[in-house]
Amino acid sequence: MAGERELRELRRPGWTFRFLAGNYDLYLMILPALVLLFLFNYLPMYGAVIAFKDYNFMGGIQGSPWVGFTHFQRLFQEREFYRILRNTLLISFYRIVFQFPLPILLAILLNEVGNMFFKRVVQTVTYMPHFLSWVIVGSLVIDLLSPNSGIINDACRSLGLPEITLMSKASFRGIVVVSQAWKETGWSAIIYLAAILSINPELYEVAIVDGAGRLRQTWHITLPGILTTIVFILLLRIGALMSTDVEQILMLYNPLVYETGDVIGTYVYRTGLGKMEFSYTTAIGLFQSVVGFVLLVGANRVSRKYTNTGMW
Amino acid sequence: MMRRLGRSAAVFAVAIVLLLGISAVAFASGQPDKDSKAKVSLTVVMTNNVESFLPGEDENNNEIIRRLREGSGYDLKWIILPADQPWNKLTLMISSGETPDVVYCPPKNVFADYLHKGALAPIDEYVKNAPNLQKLVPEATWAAVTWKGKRYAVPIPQNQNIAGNASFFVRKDWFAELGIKDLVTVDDYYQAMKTILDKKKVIPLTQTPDNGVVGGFSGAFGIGTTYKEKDGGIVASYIQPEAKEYLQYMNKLYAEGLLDKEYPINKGANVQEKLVAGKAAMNVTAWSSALSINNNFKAKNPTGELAYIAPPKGPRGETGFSRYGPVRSYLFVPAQSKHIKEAVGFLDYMSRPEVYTYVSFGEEGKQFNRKGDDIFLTDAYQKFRFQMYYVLVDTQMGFAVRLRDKGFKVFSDQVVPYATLEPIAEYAPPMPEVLGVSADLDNVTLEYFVRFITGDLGLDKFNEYVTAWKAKGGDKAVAALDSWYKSDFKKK
Repeated sequence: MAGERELRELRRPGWTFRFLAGNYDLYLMILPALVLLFLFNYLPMYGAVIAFKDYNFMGGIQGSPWVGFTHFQRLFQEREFYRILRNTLLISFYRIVFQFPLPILLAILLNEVGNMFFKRVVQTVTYMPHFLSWVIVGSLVIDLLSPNSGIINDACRSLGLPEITLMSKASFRGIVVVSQAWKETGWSAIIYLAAILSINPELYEVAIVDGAGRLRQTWHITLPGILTTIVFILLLRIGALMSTDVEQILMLYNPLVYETGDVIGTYVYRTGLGKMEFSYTTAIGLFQSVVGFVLLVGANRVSRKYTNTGMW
Repeated sequence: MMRRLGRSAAVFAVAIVLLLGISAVAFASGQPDKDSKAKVSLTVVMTNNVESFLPGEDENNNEIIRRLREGSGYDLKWIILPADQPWNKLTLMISSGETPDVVYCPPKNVFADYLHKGALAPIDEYVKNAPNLQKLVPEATWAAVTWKGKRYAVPIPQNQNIAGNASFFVRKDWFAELGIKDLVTVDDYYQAMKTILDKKKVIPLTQTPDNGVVGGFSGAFGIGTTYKEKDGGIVASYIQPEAKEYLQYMNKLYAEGLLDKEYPINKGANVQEKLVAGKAAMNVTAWSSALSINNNFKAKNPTGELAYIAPPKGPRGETGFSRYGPVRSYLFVPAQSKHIKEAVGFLDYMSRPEVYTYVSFGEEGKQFNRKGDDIFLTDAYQKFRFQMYYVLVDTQMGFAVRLRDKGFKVFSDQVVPYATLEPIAEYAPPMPEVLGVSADLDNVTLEYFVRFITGDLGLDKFNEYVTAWKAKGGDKAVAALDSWYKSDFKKK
């Protein structure tokens, strides 16, 4: 009943002002964070304008001449452009298809485990690799897959299977996706576990009374319950389709796998290092961001239409 | 009501803490420099190195910089760049208005980049009044920093050619055991590696991909330097037919297991590890790495022996490694510096023999002693090691003494005779057509050469490489070098 009265209050004219005034202290508290966000995230966006200029740090942003879409043209005409674009999109796509369902599966399974100790141990062990940097995990992967001394290839050889190494174009994307899944699944599962825990247990009790088995319970209660979380994270991943985990690929790649493994980030790193081509690299970043934004808005629309949930 | 009060109180408490924090930071950074007098203040930017300062001291507070301030008459401020991406910091400094007055810059392409962006000041008129600088730098070396008739930096002449470059660092004990004697030609090398693989079952040759070209073998096939003289002009080595011969040879090595299977993914550290652990027999090693490799090796294998051997001769009798270019480092003055005249004056001061001797070795009788023409460091020098941060002018003597003192000389002496190839392109002025594309060309060469060597791409596709190389501006670079060579260089 209190809720109804508040709703009526809110609908009276001037409610915005009263709402703000009534909670002024809360707004004051977030003011520093908002100011920081504005100063360091929104204001610098102005700098993206150098993507359309020929930036020379001697003249500053104002003093540098306009060149329109020259940098973008240069990007699209690079010998390697088609290759890096294709690899970036494919690797991100494989990540979504392969890596996305895994944390959900892990969370659901862990949720079913009765033994608290076992559950805790598994959770801890699976999320620990998230904290290792790719320098460490990369070295592990390189060592495991070494053609001379790696245990994976020793096993392959004894089983008569072809070797898997980091020098093979065909296996590179697979290695990238699998190793990242190993590293990140545990950590991503935490969010889903938290979401599962927030589902009302009464729903399960009612379902059991109605005669639902574990699988049905999962399908009809657990999954719909965490649907908002799933959609949210999926949308975030789609928005990030154009930017891949560059650190990982930098650690693992070599000239033999450029054909399938060279992505936009690694290309820029390799060719741009020390060249002070600020405008060109900004143009590339802007291109990635714009595409990511369009994808995000599109995916959100689709999601709203078919599942009634979305990011906004 | 009470809850409301509690919430407001919390908010105000947070606000006060924030205000206090901000004002503390503002006051702390506003402290004036205690040392500032009416003297001209010069900021000098230096690159990082491994030496550390004495406890309680830093780059602006130690014996050397105090002496330099007194002797030069300038209020000096020393800034050391980070080890990672150092030039980003310099660019940031210049573009945010904190322009330094002197910058020590070893890489030629970084110097050229700043030059062509208009960031450097021409220093001709000031060098006229700098007698010590004029004595230090030979007339011919100024060409490397001259652009459109003006000089844009002080080029410190190369002093490291007395150390050579690199050569094949091999398990001499295994060679003796297998009866492998003097290897002269590339075929000798091939046979020796086959013997090692057959009898010892280890990796005969292990390498890192670097820029796609293995020194020693490249020299044997006539492509030991990126650009070379041919038929009275300059050509790019890696697109010549000789390069195909080199690639055929290396491909054969890789296919037969004589070159490490992991060649494309090897990093410096694991190549060293393979040598030390006895998994590999040979590696092209720079003199600077040989000391630590040998130390680690001896710890594990007291009876084994690692030593350098001469590089092979190719089909036309060519052999050798590249020498270093004529300039060791570039000392430039940013155009936005407010004290260009004083900056050059300071460089002149640093070029005085007594000053660079002090900065390189310390005080006579304290950190070093003379014996005839030679200089020997005392134990007291060990505490003086941070002097490297102040060596703007490095001399051959300074380098020679450090080589001996740090134990490198044993190895550099072995490789000096093999560094015979002149890197012609390094003598050219900083042309943007050449330096702007050097990284791109290196990347293309690395990508294709590794694929040719491992057999991933057949050598019949060599033209694909040449096309890609030209697409990155290779032709323009060669043309620029060629016209410079024919007009300016040959005159001398």
